[in-house]
Amino acid sequence: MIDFLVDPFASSFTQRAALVSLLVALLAPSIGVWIIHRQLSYMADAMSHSTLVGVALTFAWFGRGAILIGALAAGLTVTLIIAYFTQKSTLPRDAVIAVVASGFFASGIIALGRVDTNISLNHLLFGQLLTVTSTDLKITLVLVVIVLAYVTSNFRDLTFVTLDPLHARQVGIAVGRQTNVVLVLIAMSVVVCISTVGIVLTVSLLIGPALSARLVTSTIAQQVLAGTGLALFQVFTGFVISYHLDMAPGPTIAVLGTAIFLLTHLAASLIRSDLRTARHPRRWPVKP
Amino acid sequence: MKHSSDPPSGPVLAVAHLSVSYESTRALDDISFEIGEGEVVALIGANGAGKSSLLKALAGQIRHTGDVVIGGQHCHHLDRQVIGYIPQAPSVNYSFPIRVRDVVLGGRRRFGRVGLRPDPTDVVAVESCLGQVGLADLADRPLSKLSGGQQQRVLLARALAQEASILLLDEAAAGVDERRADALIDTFDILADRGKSVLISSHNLAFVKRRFARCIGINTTLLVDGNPREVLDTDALTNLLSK
Repeated sequence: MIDFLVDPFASSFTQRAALVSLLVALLAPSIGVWIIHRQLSYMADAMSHSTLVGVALTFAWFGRGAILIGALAAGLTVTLIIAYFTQKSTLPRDAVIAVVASGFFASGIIALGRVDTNISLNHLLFGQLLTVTSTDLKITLVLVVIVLAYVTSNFRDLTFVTLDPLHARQVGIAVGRQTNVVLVLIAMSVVVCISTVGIVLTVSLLIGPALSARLVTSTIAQQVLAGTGLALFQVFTGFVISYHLDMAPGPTIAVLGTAIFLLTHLAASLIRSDLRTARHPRRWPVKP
Repeated sequence: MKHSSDPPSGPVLAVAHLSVSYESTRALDDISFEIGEGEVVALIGANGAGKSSLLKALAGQIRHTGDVVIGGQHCHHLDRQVIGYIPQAPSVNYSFPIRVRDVVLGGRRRFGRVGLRPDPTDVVAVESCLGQVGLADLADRPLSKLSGGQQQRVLLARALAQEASILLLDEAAAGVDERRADALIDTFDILADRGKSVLISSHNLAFVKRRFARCIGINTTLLVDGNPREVLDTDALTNLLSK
């Protein structure tokens, strides 16, 4: 049994993959809870798709080592563009996101077709966990430390703004500035997740564990902690399964996330049902 | 609770020539009044009369002309954090997973950043404010599990934790039954005895006549200011304010 769990991490490249997975699991729920409660899931999805153009262009100009920086730049650019249109006009945000993000994603596909690269589009779209370089690992570590440091030191303010932005402004929190910082943190987190599950599946890792955790917790701190546990389980179990069944790690991890959500939902529903029955036992009419 | 016949002990809130415009529309025009310490005052008017605009202007949520003086300090030099404002449609995300005590802790943010472990002073203040609104037993309950009336009391406790000298409530008694509305006013009376001033908007004139000693009636401009049983005695005025 131990060999079954350890074998996938025997080589240096799988150890790097495991380290990146660990960082992703620590990061994803910490930012995922704010994405969920601020209803930014679609925005995060748009950011992840938009990074493709940044990856293609930075690969062409600077080589393989710079693609995460390119992804970050593209994610931040699309965030700025969407923020500009939604703040300066009355256009609905989801429509603006759809138009801008699809343009960026399509540009990425065109750019990748014209760049002479050995990077497979599939690797970018669905994850490249086994090809993570030490540079990727360092960039991921820096981004994770920045995001976790901000979230931890501003946990209460993030809570107050997410609960009631109007009141938060009244008690002295710079709500607009914090909102922009959160968008930047989401862009950074998207870049971190791309290594593990790829552009298309990033949102499942960012949101999946945090959403599953919401079903069984009643405070935001509990949600973060439970989400981190679920994310760790998801990425490592997904990685081990993909190794033994010879499947792509990214999609396996994403599928596992959906399965965990469905099972957690089922378990939570059963527990709630049991509690209701215990509090209000059914009383069958007694026949005279 | 101080009644309109009581001599005011210096106004907590003094409003002079306040006007609000939305583009070309004048929502409020030259409104002036004062509210003393410990007064509970009803703000009445028809739909669209400007009640919400007046409360938003006082809370610093929208731009206005004219003077607003709170506790002797001019508003332009005043930190509006001394005002506890509960809007008609609060921007509160009631599905957010948070305990009641942590919501109330939000009021303490006014006094500085609240860390992961709150300062003992803030913890005591939160307990005290929850006790004042009768929710001490529900401090650890998730906000989403409370009834609408209880959630409103949580927001009231948060305003108290803010140590606001005046509470502005927009239609706080709307949509609740008579018993709950009376209980809410009883709470305000207790707070008034402790020196808090309350301005609460309502469109229910019968309720205002029954429970308030003073009302301010507006319809873009100030129409009446006094005891509702005296100033709302004509059918014409009653119709004007309630249509």
